Amino acid sequence: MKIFNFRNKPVIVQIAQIFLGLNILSIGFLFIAMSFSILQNGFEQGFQQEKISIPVKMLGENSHQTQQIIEIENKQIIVTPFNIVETDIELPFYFSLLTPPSYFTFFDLSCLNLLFMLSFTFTLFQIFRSISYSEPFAIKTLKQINIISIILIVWGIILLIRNAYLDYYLRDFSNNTFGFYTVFTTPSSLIQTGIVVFIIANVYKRGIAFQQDSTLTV
Amino acid sequence: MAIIINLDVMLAKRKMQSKTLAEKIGLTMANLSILKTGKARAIRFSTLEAICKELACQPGDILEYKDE
Repeated sequence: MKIFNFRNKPVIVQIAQIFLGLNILSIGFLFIAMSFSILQNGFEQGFQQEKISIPVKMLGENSHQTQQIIEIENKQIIVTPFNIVETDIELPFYFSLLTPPSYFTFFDLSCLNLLFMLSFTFTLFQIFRSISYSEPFAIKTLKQINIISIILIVWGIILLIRNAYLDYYLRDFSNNTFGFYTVFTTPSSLIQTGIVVFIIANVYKRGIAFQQDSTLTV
Repeated sequence: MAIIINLDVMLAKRKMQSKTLAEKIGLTMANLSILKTGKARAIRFSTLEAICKELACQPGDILEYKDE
């Protein structure tokens, strides 16, 4: 139980810590499994272009149709009922690291996103672990809250760039027939949350100063 | 800091030990040490009152201002 550091903590915090621990394990497992399989594939094919299934949203007149076959540059592209493009057109290797798996689009399980999810959850776990109820305002916790805010803002900016780039690439490639599609990824809300956490970190900083004043008052 | 605590001097004058004073005014030795070494950022009126009462002195006997 040393990993969790449960001493003098309320039950609700202990439950949250266990939940976060399990979360880290599951996300870590997913990240390792996915990156391993993608890199293995890359080594086998020499990191060349490869066929990738990509989640897409249909644009314009085609948007009401659920399944269709589109021809681009004399190549057939099949759009399945679940808005997934199956294509024989090869895409650059790094697309497989950036795009979420097309069979499960509700959560963005791309390697890039999983890496950020892992670092965010790990830092959150560290905060819960290090927080002390006898002395709640600590410089160590302040640093970790600052790290959380930086992770959230960088995460949001990077996903914003990725979404814009993939959308631009797919629109350009398909002559505005379909664009990149994610349900769960909302980069702007990540940036907003990051800013709120940054403000809380600044308030916390004042809290540390007040606590020091209080300790040195006799 | 420009404010100097002369608690040691008053204790020596009254021939009282720090521990005894701490016990009498209900302060921990750690806090009294903070006060004596000049690390304290503030002092409560109640603490000052208790010290003055025990040592039978004025606040001016304990606190002194020196221009740095």
